Amino acid sequence: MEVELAFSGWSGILVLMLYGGLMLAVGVYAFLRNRGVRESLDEYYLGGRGLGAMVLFFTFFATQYSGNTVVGYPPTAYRLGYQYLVSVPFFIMIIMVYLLFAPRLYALGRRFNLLTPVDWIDLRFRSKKVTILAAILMLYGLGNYLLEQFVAIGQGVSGLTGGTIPYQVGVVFFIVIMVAYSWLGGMRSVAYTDTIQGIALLFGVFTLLIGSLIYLGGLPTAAETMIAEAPQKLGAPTGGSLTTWFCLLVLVGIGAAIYPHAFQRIFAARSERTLKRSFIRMAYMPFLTAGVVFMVGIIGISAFPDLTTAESEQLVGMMANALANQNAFFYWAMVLLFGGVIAAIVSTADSVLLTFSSIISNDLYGRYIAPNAEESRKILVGKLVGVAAVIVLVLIAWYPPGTLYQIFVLKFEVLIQTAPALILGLYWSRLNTQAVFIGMLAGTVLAAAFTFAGFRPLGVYSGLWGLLLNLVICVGGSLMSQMTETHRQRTLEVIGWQR
Amino acid sequence: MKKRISEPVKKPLVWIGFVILFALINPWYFPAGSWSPLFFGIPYWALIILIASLALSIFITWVVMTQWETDADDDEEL
Repeated sequence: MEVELAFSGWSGILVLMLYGGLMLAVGVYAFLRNRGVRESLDEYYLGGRGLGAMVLFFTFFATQYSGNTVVGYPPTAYRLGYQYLVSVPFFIMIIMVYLLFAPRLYALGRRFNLLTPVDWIDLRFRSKKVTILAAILMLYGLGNYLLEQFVAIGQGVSGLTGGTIPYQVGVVFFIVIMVAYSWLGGMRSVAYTDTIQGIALLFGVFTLLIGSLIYLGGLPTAAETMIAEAPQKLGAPTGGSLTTWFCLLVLVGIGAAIYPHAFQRIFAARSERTLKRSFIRMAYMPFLTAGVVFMVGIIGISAFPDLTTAESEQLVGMMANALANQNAFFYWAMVLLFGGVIAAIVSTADSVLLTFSSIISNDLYGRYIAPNAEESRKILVGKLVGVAAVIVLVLIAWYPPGTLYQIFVLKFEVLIQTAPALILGLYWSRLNTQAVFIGMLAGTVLAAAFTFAGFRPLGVYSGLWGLLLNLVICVGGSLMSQMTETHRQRTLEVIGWQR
Repeated sequence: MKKRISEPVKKPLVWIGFVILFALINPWYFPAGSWSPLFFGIPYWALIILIASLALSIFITWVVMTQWETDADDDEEL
């Protein structure tokens, strides 16, 4: 079901053009300020390792909160009620998981000039097959993540403009802008635009909440509706919903912290201090974002009762519509909100694309194909392969394959399999290379097989089963194998540096 | 001069705190399906979960500020 937005049409187009122009201007600014950006991998992919606390914070923010947080979470809260309150603590879990590895990772990144997550795996294991497997898993997961963002951009644009701009034109317009500013300024452009996009999004969700509270009734009204019609939406979770709650905390906590683009941002911090300050701010953002959109979904329960699942997907559109009809302020606030949603999707996509290119530049092309190439050439190859991947993904988005569609759904399930190598490798010198390789492969196969088969033993998600098998193999294999003295020495040189 | 190096992951207190707070942000300790009393339309258990979540954020702040100190940036200046 498509909702005709009252505020769609030319004002929507105007706002989208403004956003596009602004992002391009940021790219040009970043380019002019840093002429050497295309000459050095560090400059292009990590912003010269000089991101300050504010910009670093917003770029972390943009990787964690996407347009989906605003458009997709309220409908879920609408359907599940307070059972979906888990969306607040699971974003805090991400920061908790960060604290288990970021301090040492940042220090190692400085010491060994690490550029990508794969770079770290290569330094730690010195094994071509582990490096290449990890790179492939990350590229695959990132590719699917990007695909999802492209589909969302298209739907957002055609929704906001009431179909005045067709889906395809919207996608192409924003992808061209995104590629242009990323090419111009690399990580700096991405981080600066993340900042603008983050502010737009925050403004949008807050006006949506305030408007909903004024015109659509508050939480007590919603509670009355739930008591009368669906008390299970108010009640404390039991049985299966408790398992789901637990799984979401673990899966999102670990998964989102080791998303390659999230992991890589640790290397881009200007100093340990800026990294710390960004993390502290991030620890409170779940209340201001996930918490706010959760409330919007709950208010929807009384404002738009009895929607079917398909109808409820349009909840945010309906609420925005209702608010835009109230007065000129909310009309423009809702236009900005939807612009902000699209901007947030673009800002997630640009981060993913940049990391995708960096793995190509540094870890595949730069490490195995042409190690002696100029850095500018490595960057160029990363950019071109990135654009080629974007074109393929856009074609897939437009002509979704009838069968095997599920291979484009796997993201978390696959990416999380690199966690033992990335995190355990930081602390455990005995961790055996062979065991890591087999664990990563077996975990991926198991997670994929369970996902395809729709198999979810004990209600636990397929990605976690894969991770469990992966961990058992990593730990068991390492304990059973003997470590040579040279191997021990070399590992200690990398991770035993502070002793 | 070498500064004191401290990593959160090596502090038992940090782990204890995380385990307790993790247990508290999972709503297993409420009677199944209960929601009364409501505060401003929010079920009591949801409010407790939110308070536990805030406690986790505050604990994270404390960990970052006091338990995390490496000489990473001094290295750079050598």
